[in-house]
Amino acid sequence: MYKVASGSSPLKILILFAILLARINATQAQREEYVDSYKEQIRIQSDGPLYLTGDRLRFSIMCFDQSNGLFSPLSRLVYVELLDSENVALAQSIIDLENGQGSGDILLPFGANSGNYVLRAYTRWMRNFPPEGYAHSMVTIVNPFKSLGLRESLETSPGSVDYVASPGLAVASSKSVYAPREKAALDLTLKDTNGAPVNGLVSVSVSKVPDFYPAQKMEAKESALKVGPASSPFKVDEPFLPETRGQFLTGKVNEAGTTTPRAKELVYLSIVGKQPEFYTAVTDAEGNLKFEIVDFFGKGEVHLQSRNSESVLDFVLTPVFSDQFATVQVPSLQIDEEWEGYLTQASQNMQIRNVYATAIAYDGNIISSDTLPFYGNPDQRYFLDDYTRFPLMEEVLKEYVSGILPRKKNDEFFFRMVNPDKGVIMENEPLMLYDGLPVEKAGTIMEIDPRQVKRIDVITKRYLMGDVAFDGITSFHSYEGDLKGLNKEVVRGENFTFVGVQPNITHVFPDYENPDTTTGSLPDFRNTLFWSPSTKVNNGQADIAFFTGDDTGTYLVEVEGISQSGEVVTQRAYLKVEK
Amino acid sequence: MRALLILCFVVVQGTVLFAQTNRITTTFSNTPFAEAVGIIEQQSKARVYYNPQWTDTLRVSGILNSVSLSEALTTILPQGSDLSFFINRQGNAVITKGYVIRQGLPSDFFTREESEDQMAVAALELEKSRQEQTPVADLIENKIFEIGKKSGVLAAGKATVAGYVKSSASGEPVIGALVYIQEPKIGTITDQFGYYSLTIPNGRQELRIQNVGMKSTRRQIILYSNGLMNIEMDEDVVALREVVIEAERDINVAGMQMGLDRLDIQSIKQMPSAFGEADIMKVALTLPGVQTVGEGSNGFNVRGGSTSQNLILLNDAVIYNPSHLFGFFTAFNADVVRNVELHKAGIPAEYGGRISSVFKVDMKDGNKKKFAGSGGVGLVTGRLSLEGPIIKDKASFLVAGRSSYSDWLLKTLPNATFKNSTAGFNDFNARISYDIDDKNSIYITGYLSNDQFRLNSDSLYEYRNANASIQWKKIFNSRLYGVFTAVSSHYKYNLSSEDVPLAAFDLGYGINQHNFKADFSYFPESMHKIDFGLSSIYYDLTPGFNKPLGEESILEDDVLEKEKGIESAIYVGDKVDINDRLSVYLGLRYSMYTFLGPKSEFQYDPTRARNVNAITDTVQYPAGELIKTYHGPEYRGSLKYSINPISSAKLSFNRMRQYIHQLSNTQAISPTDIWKLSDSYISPQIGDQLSVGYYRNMRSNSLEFSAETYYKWLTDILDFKNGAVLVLNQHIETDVIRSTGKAYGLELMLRKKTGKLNGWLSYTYSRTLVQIAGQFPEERVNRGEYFPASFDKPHDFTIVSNYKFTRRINLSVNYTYSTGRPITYPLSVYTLGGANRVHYSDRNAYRIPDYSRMDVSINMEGSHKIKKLAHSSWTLALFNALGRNNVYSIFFVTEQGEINGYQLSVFARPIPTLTYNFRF
Repeated sequence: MYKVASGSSPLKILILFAILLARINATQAQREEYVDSYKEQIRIQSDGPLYLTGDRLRFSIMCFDQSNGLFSPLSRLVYVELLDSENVALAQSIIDLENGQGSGDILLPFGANSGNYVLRAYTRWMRNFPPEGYAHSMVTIVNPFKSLGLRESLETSPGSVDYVASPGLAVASSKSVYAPREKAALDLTLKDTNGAPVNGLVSVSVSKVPDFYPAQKMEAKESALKVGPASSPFKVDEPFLPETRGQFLTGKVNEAGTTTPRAKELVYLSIVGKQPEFYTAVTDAEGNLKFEIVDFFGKGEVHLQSRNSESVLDFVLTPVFSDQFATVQVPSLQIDEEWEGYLTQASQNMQIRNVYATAIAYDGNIISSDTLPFYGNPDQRYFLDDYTRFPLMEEVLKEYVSGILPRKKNDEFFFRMVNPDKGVIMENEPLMLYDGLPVEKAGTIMEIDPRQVKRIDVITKRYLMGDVAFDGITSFHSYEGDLKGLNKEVVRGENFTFVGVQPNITHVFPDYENPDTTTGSLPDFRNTLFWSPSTKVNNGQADIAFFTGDDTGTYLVEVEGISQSGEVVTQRAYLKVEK
Repeated sequence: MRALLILCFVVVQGTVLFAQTNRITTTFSNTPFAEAVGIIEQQSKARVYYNPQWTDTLRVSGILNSVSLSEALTTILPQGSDLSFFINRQGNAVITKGYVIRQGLPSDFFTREESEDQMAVAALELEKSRQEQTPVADLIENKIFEIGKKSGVLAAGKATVAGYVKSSASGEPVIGALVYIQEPKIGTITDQFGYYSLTIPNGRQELRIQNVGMKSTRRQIILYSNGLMNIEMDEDVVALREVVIEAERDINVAGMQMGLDRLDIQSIKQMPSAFGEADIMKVALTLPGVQTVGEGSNGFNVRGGSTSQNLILLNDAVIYNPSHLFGFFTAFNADVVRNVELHKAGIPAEYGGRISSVFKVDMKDGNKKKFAGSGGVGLVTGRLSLEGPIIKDKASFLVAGRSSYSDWLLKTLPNATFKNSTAGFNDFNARISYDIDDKNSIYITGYLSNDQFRLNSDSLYEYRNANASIQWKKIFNSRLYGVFTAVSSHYKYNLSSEDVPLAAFDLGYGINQHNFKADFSYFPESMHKIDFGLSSIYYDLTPGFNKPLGEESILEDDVLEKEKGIESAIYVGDKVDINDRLSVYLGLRYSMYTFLGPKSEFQYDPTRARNVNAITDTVQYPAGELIKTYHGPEYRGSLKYSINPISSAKLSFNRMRQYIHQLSNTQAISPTDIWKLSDSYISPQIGDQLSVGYYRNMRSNSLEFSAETYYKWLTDILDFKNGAVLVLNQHIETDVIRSTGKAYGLELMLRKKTGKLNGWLSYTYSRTLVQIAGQFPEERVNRGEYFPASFDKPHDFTIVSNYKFTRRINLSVNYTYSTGRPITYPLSVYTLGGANRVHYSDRNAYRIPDYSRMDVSINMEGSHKIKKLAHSSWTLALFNALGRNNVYSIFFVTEQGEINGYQLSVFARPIPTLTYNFRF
């Protein structure tokens, strides 16, 4: 039983945390006991029954407190993986949850093989429990450029379950046949067993299917998979702390080339980019390192380096995705020659969509507006475009950046920060960052062509960060956050690929009634005419409107979600587009 | 199910057939792509999908005669482009870029055996196509421009691309910018209009454009045939600290010109000046080979020429008196000046009429993009200029005014002498630039300056320059353009006094000059430029009048006859780069001059010295009569040889003829100087100059060294008999004598253009000697021997330096030393007939003390913020910082029977000034 409500159990979580943190040295049995006291469960829904490589798989996620069916307020992040039959991930992403709900998408790799894949999702907290408790869902992917790799005998999947619609949910289309680029309207109604209208939260997709699809008995995606316990016994060495705020990045620091842990080492973590991140951490006695990265979106690289330039260290990062796999039986691909017409058209459409991918951006990532850098609002901020452009960094700093005092000693530059309020020149060199990457020597900054620099932030006060203090900060930023102009040879430390939280996705569908937003000459061969990861059903009623595209054929309307009373509801309908 | 599939297939076929039955018949001629698609869609009844961003620059030509949609699209999509199309089962077409749609599934799609990949490459291609769509900054540098008439087949051979290079900020032409292609290396330099013409192989080319102070830029072009391409450049800031920047060409070594100094307005503005105003002429004086007789005199002497032998042009209009207020100010308002060129040698054939130099000042065009203004307030003057577009990007105006308030200052002085004095000037510039279309531009310029002063209620002096010019620049084709100029120049002075009503007078003088010229530039191929043209000047002089002023005056009218003449010339100049090392310029100018009637002319007894007593007759010439004609060729030539990339040698020769002469017995230009046309007695002055130079750049072009030496022969120079009368002289030919001269010198200069410290050191050794050896004793001076000219100053040493502490604060220190100029001294006094008479030395036998002066100025700029209400700057200058009593002249006064000598200094003390400048 799930309930459409959230935030009802903060007290419980608080207690859980207190216990976890206080008893970090507790025995394994004790830990398990505490951990067992709270369980999360996830439902994942995707936007169509079948995808082509090069398509975008969109999905919606709901995370519940298993004990009461409420949206879980604990975890902030969900890990989503698309796995093949060998448990090799075709794609991985991390989704931000808000009140237990989230959505995301995966661009299916062009080179993937056709087949049925498993989409699984879990939180870090769920990794304290066996992997069969993760959410699993089947996804059919077809690569139209490659042989399907069908086997000789076309067996039907044994024990497949027929699709059963929920009686309380109804989908009505205003017309059964639409013309291309016509406005279509869907009417959703949700009632409880007594016939009284109830609230609910559903995902809605309208995607193209073969014309014969309605006649075929297609099974429900979730029930298609048989998920069993992992072959090896499940064991957790160290409990996974829940990610309630940001993403944990953990690892170990060893003396270079050895397994000797390096304790009490101050390590800088940077994520280089337009909105760079910078963190500091000190290793514990076992050389363990832990960062919590907040509000970083997208894929990137993390850069780790020790503050002490003399240190020669190895960094070993703990993988962020689960290495535990449940035993999953995936049915074989149920596609034959009957699909040729559909797949031919779908392939053409997919190719067109890709060629026009930037001209028609249906899925836009919301680049979150300027988040504050870690140092908050700087004391001085210079956008170099607001000033006369000088060809040398030395000139920029001398001419108008008043907080930085560039000096020279033995022909080498060094910086001192000037605190104008106190009129004091600080003793030590400031923390110097370029796109978030710490730079050891001022001379390295001086060598950057200032025309590559968009902005300089200056903190002229002593800045405390955890256990570290800096005599001010100078943060230089390039236009694209790509370290442009930096002499890469002086960069110490190591880079690691890093999967950050997927940026929030907006799904933009064309509006042919508003000529400003669409161009008549652009083709519209969408496979998915509409997708909404979470549509609210208020008083048993929700209205959906969208436009059909240039392609004709049969479309499946799939509505899935939960009702106010915690009931899982699903419903299907079909509509046609004809010329 | 099979039946359904077959049905489906039939339907597909049917639609395709249906689509094909709608055939298309139309003709496209340079039709925009979108329009062409519209016509095709209408006739074929099918949709054609495309991305307008891919096709917005495409134009379509072709004849469609009952063709299918597929054939129509094949015709309109450019061959060899990465655009292709695909027609789907509904019969609609989709245009794709960089990728061809695979219409079917691979043949092994449903096979159940192992098989090889057939279409895997499609997946790679599609992925690449998607990735390549990541938006590249929509830079103009990445855009491809098609030049000339587009044809299906690219013709072999070469074509000419030409156009203007302009500043993106103001629309002002960029002069001297290098436009070139890398492979093969072909380049050219923009002329004074910012115009370039480059003949390069047809096809895909990358034009590169470089100029000091501008961001280097590129343009991608496909050259089909001759065509135009205008380029805009962004301004750039050059590093203060010395860094090795990309190897930039250097005009000093690589340029053809010798004896040419180009002054950029920025360095002019940071030089200290006596009254805090940027002064073009004073800056010119710091160049080697340019001298003045003293401060407060505005004329300058170039390589032993007199002040009247310089052709001073403001937008092609001759300025006769380039000074204000006794020469303390220049007639040119530096705020409106774009470019200053001083030709000392190797003068191109297009210039003529003066034998010494060409000083060419070009006004800038108004800002074609936005309204802007600038101005300044100094101790003596205030100025304001406004500019802006009339039609954006096409037409602009520029107006500037400057006025002194010295009058007001004088009144506040306690000294009664000053209180009763007035001194003031104002000038006004206006210019309209209009680019009618790509090929026609019109420039209209006006200039007016007025001066007046009165010392201690004495006579009132007034003088005025007034000019108007109109220029039409026409590009005939990418290889030929012409500039047609009509100018009217006017100069006059008046001297009046009403102190004594009985003798109140108004004395005056005036010149009117109207000229027309046509100048053409022809580029037969790259590295080869031919200039040719013709010009004609009509002179109308009022040589002088003295009229009674007021009713009480008992003076009688005294009016000299008008003088009229026509000076015409045709010229051709050919510059060829023979190879990488050797460039040659050859030019010929043929000038012709006729002195016109009406005029009465005295005839003299040829056997006697020419004086009043030798007049034998008076001949009356009617109006229009050709009294006397002079003509002759003027040879111009120069040669440059690059010894290696950092050094070169240059050689030049030029002959100049001058038909108008200044009558002046002062060394400087004075407002009461008069000009006289050549006539039967005064033949044209001829100057020949041979000049050799060596140029070397050091330290990656940051230091320039040049050494130039010259020898000049001067023929038929006018000089004056001792005690000559120049004003209101009916028979001036009796008071002037012909002289010949020779001048030679060596000019050394070391110049540093970049870095925190920049400036130059120059040393000049020069001599100018005159010989006056007429037939009769009174026509000889110093026994007919060579003697130093009045402006002969053998040694001249100048330091011009500017140190930039930061971009906002810089310090300029200038120092100049020169030998004192020659002077004639009274040697003894004797009594003759009861009166004391003075016995003078040989002419110019002595010299005044040497001259030495140091000036210091500090310039302070406002903040570096780009967006602010007004950009302002302060200049604090200290003129004659050492306070040295430099002697301007020595004169002798008979006081109580004794002759006492006095030294006159103009600025005997340090003069501090503070100026505030602004622009918005």
